[in-house]
Amino acid sequence: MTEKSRRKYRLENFVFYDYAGIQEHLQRMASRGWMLESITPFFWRYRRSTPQKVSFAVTYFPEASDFDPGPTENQQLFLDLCAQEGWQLAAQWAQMQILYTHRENPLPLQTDAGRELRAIHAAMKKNFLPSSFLLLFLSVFQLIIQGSRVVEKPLETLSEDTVLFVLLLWFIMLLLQLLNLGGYLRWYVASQKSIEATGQLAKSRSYMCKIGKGVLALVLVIVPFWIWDMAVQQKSFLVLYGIALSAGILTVLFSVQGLLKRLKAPKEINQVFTLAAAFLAGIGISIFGGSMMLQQLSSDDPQVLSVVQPDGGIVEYPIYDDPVLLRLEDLQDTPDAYYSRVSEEKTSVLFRVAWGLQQGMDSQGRKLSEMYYCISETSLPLLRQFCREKALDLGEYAPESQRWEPYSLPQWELPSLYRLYDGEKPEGYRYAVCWEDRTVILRMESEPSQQQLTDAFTVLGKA
Amino acid sequence: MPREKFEALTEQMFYILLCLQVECYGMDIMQKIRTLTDGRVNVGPGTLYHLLDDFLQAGIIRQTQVQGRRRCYLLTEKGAAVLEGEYQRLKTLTEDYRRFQKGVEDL
Repeated sequence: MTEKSRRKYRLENFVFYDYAGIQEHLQRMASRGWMLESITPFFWRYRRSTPQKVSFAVTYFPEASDFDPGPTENQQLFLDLCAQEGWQLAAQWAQMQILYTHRENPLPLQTDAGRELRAIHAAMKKNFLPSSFLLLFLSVFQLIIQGSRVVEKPLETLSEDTVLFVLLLWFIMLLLQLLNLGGYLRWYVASQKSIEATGQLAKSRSYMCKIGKGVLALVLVIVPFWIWDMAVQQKSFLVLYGIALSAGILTVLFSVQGLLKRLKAPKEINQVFTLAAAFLAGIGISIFGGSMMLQQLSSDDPQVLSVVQPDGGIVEYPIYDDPVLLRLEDLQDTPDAYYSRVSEEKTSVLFRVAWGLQQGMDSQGRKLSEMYYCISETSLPLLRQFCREKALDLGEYAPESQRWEPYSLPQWELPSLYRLYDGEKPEGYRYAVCWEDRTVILRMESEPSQQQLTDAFTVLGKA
Repeated sequence: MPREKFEALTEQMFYILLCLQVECYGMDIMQKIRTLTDGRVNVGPGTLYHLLDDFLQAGIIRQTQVQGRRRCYLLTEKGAAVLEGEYQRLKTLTEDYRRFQKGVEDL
């Protein structure tokens, strides 16, 4: 039998206080010939053995820590007492101690449910509850931050799949932590009542384990989809950078922790060095990622128009050449000039927003012409009204006297045309056309002809 | 209203303290209780460890010897008072029971 086939790694999904569920699971695994060997940060490791009837007991030792180089003196005392009754340590998961015995009808490790509940609660307060509260706080914080961005600029924000995925992941995290904390509180109160009534702890709910597996499956579906989606937009390096950052920090964290444990470093030293290493790794990877992004950005440096000023100084005007959906040259004869084109297009499962700005300037850097367009689109009928309203929203800084008014032109064949007015007068040359699923806004520097408007909106209505 | 800690002892606490009137190794307590109660009362090793820890914290017992990983414990004066208090409480219960039973039989 190869080494590989003698070992099995499983991603188990138990809540920390589900001692009964873990006991039953390990007994089932042993009866199939897989004995628990150790619990690593990500996987539970089993070794091949002959199928056997083994009793497992899960108990909690609040003093124990993942940073201990080995069992503490008190923990060893506790394990010695257990060994006297035939119980051997199989594995440890933070404060959780998993023991097994081959004895028939062994004496249970815990015979006082009230004291057992206190030990579980003390272990939970040391480990599970602080991390759950921290994740809950982080989820709420992130949802508020991302949510305020959505409220402020809904179309721009929700047209980014990254924002949607991040929102979804933090929302899942929030629900999971609420379920975890609520589930524990419910079990704790039920156990207190059950001890009063029957002297036994309440059974933990098996659905918590199923929910955990469901969430994990959901995340495993979402993340590859996210990577694929970002790859389509040629931004997959952002996701890969995020994954590399998380994986890098975790790898450093667990490697340093494991190394210091093997070196028998005291718990406090291990904690300080592990946290410092994770912090430094985070900073290091951030600096590396940041410099990579800067390199990528600097490789896209624009051309520069240098204009010598009367005083001999030089002013530089950047000339960008982003791909745009509509060019000034498509609408009118343009004089020989320097044209700078800037554009951005973002597409998510909800919205698409594409805008472009073209500016023409003469050899002295003086602005000759300008055109701006913005397309806001959704393929979801439920969001069409919302999309249109937000696309035409002038923002909180626009004067109240400004509004979009229907604007008639003879023989206009496209959907209704709107023009921006300030009071009774038109406000510059800003026009909008609303299709069922798309709203296009166009801003020109000078009054366009009907033919130019028709040409521009025809192109932008299909682009 | 919750009970004051150790105001009323559980059966397991009572037998542990009973054994510790005489200096005793933690490891021997489980067997002593089993023998004393003819196997009726069993204290699991996990429970024993936690209860000994609680008693030490409360000054009800003290550690007398440490031999390697073996530790010896003995009841303190406070512990003796707690044990005596529990005995008196149980005795009162028993006497109340007898008095009431006698009353029932006399009816």
